[in-house]
Amino acid sequence: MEKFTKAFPSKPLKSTAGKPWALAGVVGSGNLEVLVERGSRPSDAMDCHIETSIPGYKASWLAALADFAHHYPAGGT
Amino acid sequence: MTGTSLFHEQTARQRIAAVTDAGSFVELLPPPERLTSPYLAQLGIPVSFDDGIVIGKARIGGKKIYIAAQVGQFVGGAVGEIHGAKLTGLFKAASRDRVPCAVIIESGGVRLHEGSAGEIAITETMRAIFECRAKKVPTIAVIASDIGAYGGIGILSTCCDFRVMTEHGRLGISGPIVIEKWMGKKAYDSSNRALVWKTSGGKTKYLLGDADALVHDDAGAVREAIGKLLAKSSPVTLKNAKARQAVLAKRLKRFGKTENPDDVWKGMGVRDIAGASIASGPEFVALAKAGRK
Repeated sequence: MEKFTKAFPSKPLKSTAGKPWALAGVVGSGNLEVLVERGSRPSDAMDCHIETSIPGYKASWLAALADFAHHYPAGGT
Repeated sequence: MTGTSLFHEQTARQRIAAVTDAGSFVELLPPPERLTSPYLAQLGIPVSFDDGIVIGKARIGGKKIYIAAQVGQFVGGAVGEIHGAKLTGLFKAASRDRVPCAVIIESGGVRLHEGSAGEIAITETMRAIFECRAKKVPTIAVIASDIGAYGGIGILSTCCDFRVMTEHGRLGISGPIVIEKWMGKKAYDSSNRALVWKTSGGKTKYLLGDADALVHDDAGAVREAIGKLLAKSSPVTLKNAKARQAVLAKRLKRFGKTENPDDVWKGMGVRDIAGASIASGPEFVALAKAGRK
């Protein structure tokens, strides 16, 4: 398993968003499971922890997440 | 996620939301708790935040219920130690609080990666189900997905007071491919979907009495069926276990050598086989009732 953590600058997620957490997808062959949580984190950064059974794509993951953090307000998650 | 009203296409959380009173569901041990499988992690296999089962408390028609839904997309809904512990805990809470418990089943049985841990977990859940039944706390299995209820979960489903099925659901122990492998393609062609569903699907299970309700592939229909079963439960006793064995012995005597599932349907009183084959769940129920003397 390849695991890594990185924080990306992102505009703050609006505090009016309802729930403290949300889950999308189910992990599986070719499938992704994402847990997003709001917590006591700096509101200008999106903190990511990635676990994947396919090593060697770290650069792709980081690029995709940086792109997401840039386009969507996910700061504080 | 696409919006769909077909129960068998919905996700585990969508199914729970659709069968319970709006906003009443509170998830217990949710994904942020990260109760993931230590065994899969050791094997370098990606884990799921809820270990493939959603559990919690809710209300149906205002009445309290404990409810679970298995996530078939995660290792076929198979049961590992954590998944099984969540299910055992749910039934123990149901027994403690005297609140009915329903499980929306979607599982092939024990998770092979976890071996004995999965086996033990399922037996602990069965024991908790018997505890509920000893206290007359209703236990309900909903089998309404293509994956069905197989292996140890097939057995667990029959330990519950009731089974609600749809025509999509299947209930068995050995899956069709395993049966074909051991008995040969002539005896059982696992690629013949009609055969597979006619031997283990909801319609046949309802006809033989293994399922207590056969409803539309629709959350509203499943909800209604669960609602009707919330007030009844019976303990598992030596007497009723022996009575059940007698029923099964009679069935084996009657149909043990039957090679065509249509003959089982005919034997159970279904006259219009072609019509019954394409009928919806409730239509099939009507045809089956018409045939019973």
